[in-house]
Amino acid sequence: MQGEFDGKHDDAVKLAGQNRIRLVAICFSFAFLAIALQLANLTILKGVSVDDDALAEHQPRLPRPDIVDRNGVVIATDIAVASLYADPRKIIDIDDAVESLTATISDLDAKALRAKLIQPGRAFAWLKRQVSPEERDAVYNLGIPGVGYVNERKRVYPLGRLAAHTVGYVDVDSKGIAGIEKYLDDQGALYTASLAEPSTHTAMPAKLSTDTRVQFALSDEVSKAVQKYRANAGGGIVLDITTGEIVALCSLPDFNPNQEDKNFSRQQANMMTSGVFELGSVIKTVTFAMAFDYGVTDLNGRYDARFPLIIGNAHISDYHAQRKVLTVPEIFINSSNIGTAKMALDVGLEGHQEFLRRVGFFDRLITEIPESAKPLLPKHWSRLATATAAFGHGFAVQPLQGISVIGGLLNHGIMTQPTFLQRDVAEADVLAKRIVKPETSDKIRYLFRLNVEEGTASKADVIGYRVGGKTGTAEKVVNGRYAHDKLLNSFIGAFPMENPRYAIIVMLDEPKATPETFGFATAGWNAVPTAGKIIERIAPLLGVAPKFTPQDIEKLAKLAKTADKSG
Amino acid sequence: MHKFFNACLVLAVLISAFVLYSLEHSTRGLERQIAKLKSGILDEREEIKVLGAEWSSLTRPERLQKLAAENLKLKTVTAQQFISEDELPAKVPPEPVLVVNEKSKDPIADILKEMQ
Repeated sequence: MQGEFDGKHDDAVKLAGQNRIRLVAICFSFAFLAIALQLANLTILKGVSVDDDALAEHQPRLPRPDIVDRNGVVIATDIAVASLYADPRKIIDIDDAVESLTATISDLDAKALRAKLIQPGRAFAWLKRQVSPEERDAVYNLGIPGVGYVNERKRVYPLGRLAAHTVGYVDVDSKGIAGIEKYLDDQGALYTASLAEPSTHTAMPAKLSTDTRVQFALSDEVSKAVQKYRANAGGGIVLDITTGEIVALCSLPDFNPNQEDKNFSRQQANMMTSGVFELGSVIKTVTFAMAFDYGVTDLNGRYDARFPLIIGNAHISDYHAQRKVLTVPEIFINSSNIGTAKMALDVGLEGHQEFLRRVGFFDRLITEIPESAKPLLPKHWSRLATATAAFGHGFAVQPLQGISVIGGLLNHGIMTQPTFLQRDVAEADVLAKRIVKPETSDKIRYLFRLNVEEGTASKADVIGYRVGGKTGTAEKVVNGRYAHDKLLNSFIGAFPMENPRYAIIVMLDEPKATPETFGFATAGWNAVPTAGKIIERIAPLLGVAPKFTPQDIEKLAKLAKTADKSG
Repeated sequence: MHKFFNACLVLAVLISAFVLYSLEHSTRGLERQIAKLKSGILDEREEIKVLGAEWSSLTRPERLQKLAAENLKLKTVTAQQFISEDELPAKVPPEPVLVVNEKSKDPIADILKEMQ
């Protein structure tokens, strides 16, 4: 009974045990399956690789693109620097640490360092900010406990002052403050993003239109001129008028973007774009183009310049008074205010304003760099305003805008928005805008070349490069009046004149007369020869082939003779 | 039968565990190598940047002009010194270069001349 009972009982227990075991086995299988699935999911499907995260941590944001010139010369770059720090609490032997640190880093002051480290309870002290990788490794190899470093990035400008106004600079947090550097952060953020390659944490360099060789030739000659003629300031631009690329821009006094303290003075600002100036007679070019384009006169036209022009109680007279009836080319090369004013009056007030609006003198010229000034034009257009604006009085523009418009007039009447970034021809064609008829441009080019051959700009005649140009000697406004002894001289030229590609502007602020200039301080004696020297240096760099006419060869022979005699 | 089967399974588990471990070990090794190479690339890139900046600084026109003025007897190139390719034959010096060798006291040049 017992056995039977036991046997029965055993069977029942066995059965129940087997069921339980099965249940447990199934539970375990499910659990293992779940673990296996999750394992497969994590390792095979998602495939997170560990070191990518580590890298991302290493470089938390996209790097700032380098800035290079049109030939790939590095103008601005980020380099890795390390900053050394110490936790004085962890340093065991402070004297020993000070000794080995000063032995490794030459310009570390032992006394100051000791004072820093010896302070009780201090947990952190910078030893030296922004050291070179060699110094960092040397200190690391010393193996002092409590001394460490953090990696930082520092923006450097290997070319220093060269092209500083174009490139601008950044603050300590690598944020653009001026020039292209600011553009990369602000309006050009899309452009900056397009350069970045997030997969490799690198960025393509931003390519400027600047050519550092041309830039240096320009800066060098302008700074020599500023010294020679004791000018307050000087500046220049070389512009590719076919594409609108600014090949060089210089404004003196300039600044060094590498310097720690970036409190630059107002004089160091970029006067070529952030200042507006009365360019004086240079603006006559615009008036001539307007008169030709409206068909008011042509190269055979004549204007009476015998007497000053009287409008209300204002007298308009000539600096180089000829006291005769002048032909249009004579008005141009003698820079006659009377003749030019009469031409503008013939066009009329509406026509004058319409033309200035067409070429963009009513609008602020906007380029990549944030420093830009709005033109100052007469507020009320009267007959007097038209007559004086015709020769550049009461008409102040940023020099970049001046050269851009005149470049357009010379470039067969097609103006292209200037840019500091490299641009190809196709892109330039899209932005190109016709401002005058091609015939008008032909006439202006003829006058420009004539003015260099026979007129006020003869000292810019670099034989072989067919230079054309117009000078401007503007009196500066001091306390609301034109000051006769404070001049702002400028020259706008272009070469080669039969099909100009490059335009150049040179400006000198208050140049003084020197014995060499026979007591003259007008543009023809300082801005023009400076431009001549610049063109002689940059034309070969820009690939402009010289050509010589028989007259040129004669002139050269004469020059060689006089050089022999004097030598 | 059951025992043999179980033994096989145990063996299979052991083998697969060993294979899995060695695979993972080699994968870790490769991953370490990749990380090392990547940081090597980063370092090289840094180095290139520093060298690029240094090159740019050393070849800046201002410095080159100063060095050229000190060490070379060169003047600014004038427009007349550029000629077109067609004019080139006319500008070649009339006397052949060999004439210079005749006057020279270079013994090797004399030997070469004898050989000709």
